[in-house]
Amino acid sequence: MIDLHNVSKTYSNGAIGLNSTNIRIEKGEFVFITGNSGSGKSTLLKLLLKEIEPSHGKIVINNKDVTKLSRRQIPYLRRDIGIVFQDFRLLPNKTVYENVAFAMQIVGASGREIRKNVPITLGLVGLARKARCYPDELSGGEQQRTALARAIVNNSPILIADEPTGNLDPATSWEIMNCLQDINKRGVTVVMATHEREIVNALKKRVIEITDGSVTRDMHEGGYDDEMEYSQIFV
Amino acid sequence: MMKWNTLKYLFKEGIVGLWKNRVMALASAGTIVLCLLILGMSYSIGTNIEYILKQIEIKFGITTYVKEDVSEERILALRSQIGSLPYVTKVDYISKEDALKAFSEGSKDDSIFNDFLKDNPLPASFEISVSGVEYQSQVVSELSKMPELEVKYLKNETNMFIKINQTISYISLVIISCLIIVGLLLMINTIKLTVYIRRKEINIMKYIGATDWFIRLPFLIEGLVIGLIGALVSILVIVLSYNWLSGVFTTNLMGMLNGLTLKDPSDIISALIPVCMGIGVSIGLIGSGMAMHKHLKV
Ligand SMILES: Nc1ncnc2c1ncn2[C@@H]1O[C@H](COP(=O)(O)OP(=O)(O)OP(=O)(O)O)[C@@H](O)[C@H]1O
Ligand SMILES: [Mg+2]
Repeated sequence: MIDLHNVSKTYSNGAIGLNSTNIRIEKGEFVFITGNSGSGKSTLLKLLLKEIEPSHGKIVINNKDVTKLSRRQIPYLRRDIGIVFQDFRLLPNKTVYENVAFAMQIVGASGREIRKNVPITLGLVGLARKARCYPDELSGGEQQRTALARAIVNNSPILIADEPTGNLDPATSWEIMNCLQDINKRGVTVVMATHEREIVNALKKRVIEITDGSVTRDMHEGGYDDEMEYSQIFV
Repeated sequence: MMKWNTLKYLFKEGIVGLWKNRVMALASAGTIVLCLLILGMSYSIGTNIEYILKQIEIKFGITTYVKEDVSEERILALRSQIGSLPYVTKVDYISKEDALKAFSEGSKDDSIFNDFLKDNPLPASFEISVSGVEYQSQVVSELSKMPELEVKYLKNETNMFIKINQTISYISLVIISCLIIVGLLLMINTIKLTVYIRRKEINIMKYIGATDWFIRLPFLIEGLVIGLIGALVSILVIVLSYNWLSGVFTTNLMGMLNGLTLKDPSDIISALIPVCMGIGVSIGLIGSGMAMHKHLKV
């Protein structure tokens, strides 16, 4: 589903975002991308969205070579990838319903499809009763669930989340994680960058750790910092 | 191809953008109105001057002076020769004495008449009516082939009118060009502001997979609506004021002008509507296109 071959990204100011990275993510997987601040997690996700171009290497998503897509084809790549951010990025002058419907408008869905799919999706993330609220009338968790609904309403096969719980307290973070797991159970491939030790440790999913732009660990059913625990035993 | 539903949605977005940014939008629509009003004014004045000139030409026909020392028989021969030219409907001969009589009728002082009677400086002339203005130049060129005649084709009067007309069109051309540039700049600024107001939204749209045209269309619609508003307002003002002014002219001035009429309002208006629409819409679309080109990195 997602394939990175020897991908490097050096920013124009010389900062290294990613360094000869090879990652392969299968359909339906749930993957945590972990690593210190500045290690290159967001760089990886931006490369997947073709927001930035790799300096070297090849990125294949859904059997399509992303590096070869023309500018005009980028929107269609992004329709296969739902995305949520730490800061929600909802439209403040639109209600919850309208924010989610907006994503369907963009892909040219009919009014009937929109009226059918938006309530179903809001139900999935537990927001059916908040449909008429504006973002500033919602808690952080509710805002992030709105963003999740927007990311999945078009049935994209991939969901990318860049620190989606970064602005939320632990209890609310868990609500979001439960939503993400539900989404993953429906067959969506989820790639989530995070710092949250407890969450990564509790869920026992695949963990890819990036250090200074390089993959330093790739474990199935991993924890946030297995190696540290391992080494601590021997200290 | 975009779906009807999507177009409807984007149209609504364009109108919302317009409303959020109404002060700037009003300024650019106002400039367009000003520009089109000046255009309408100079066009109306120009076409009316031309129209009146033609009426004058028909009314007064062609005057040709007969050179000194042409014999009576020759004058008679010339008269029938002119009368047989194509398109000539009427030839009047005005002798030197007739001319002097007509001239002195204007002045109450008989002494001029008596002075001039001894040595009449006024030339004899033919006044020729032509079946249509369009044939006038043809008749004139035939007349100029006759060596005894000196064709006077309302030259001075016509030239004066043509000069006034040209000056008006030059001045208005300069003003209109300036206003079109100002209109474009204001339009670019208006759209730039809307782009700025909506930058977050545009960014989100890009992440969700909106195509460039989906993002651009509301701005184009905003520009289009501003241009249309400018065009419609100016057309309305032109229609109302031309109707009013031509009424005023006909009732107050036409008596003096000997039955001359102004161009019918519907002629002026039917010529100006497509021009105003075209210019208004072009400024709107080109302005927003230029603004997006510079400020909307899609
Ligand atoms: N637009 C940019 N221009 C230049 N350098 C950049 C740019 N974006 C990121 N970098 C650099 O690339 C490196 C990786 O950044 P990245 O944002 O991928 O880190 P991250 O792992 O997401 O960090 P965080 O956990 O703080 O979000 C950093 O050294 C950063 O300074
Ligand atoms: Mg980051």
